[in-house]
Amino acid sequence: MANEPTLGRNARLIVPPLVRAGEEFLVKLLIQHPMETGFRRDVNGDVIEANLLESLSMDFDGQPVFIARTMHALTANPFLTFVVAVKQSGTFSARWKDALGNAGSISASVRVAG
Amino acid sequence: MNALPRRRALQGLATLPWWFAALDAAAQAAVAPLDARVKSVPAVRGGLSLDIPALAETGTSVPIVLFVDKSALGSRTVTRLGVIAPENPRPVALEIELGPVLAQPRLTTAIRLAAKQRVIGVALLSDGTLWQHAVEVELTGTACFDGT
Repeated sequence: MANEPTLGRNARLIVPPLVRAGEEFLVKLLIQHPMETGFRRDVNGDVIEANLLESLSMDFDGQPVFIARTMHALTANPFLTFVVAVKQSGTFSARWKDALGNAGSISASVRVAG
Repeated sequence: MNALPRRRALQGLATLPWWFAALDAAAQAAVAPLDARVKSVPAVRGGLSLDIPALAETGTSVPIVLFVDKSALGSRTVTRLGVIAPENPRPVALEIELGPVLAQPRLTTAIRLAAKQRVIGVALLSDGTLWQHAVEVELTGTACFDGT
């Protein structure tokens, strides 16, 4: 249950369930989002409204992992991977908001052995 | 007839260099867009590597890895990693602030590219140093413009 999304089931935050203190491991974040650029047109020739993520960040028990300042060029369904290390058990949580005001968040816990 | 002056004005705008904003970059370095900051300093690669395919099958998803060799950092840290794609409609493609939880100054993701271009990876260090690594990328398809 710890690794279940808390909000917005359209995302995955993948961390190993158990690590050693200070061990480096990967945190993988996948968000299902169209990231519409506003440059595309539909079959009628009408511009498809732009809808890019406007904010995206992740923290570990309140400490920032990353904060995206600009993300215009992220692909549809953005996928980001980072190398992190933690000293005690805690929870990674990511949150984001797009241009249409849709917000989402997801969290995943990691347990430090010993 | 009415459209012509406007078109000429737009063409005039288009001939301005895309890094035009760099002119006053020194004055507002902290808030200037990433491309302006990059244009305002000489290109130094330092310990930065931008890993991106030389030939991308499609511009809609080009995998990238940006990483900094920690041994080149000394006592400094990497505060931001970014990507500039000068030929994209929005040239500042990506700028990500790194937090203290990260064990490595490394970012793996995928970006969109509009055209064949020189993609520039950027690392901003804690002492204000900018490192950049430019890589030529060929595309077989564009992400931003369709045939309509």
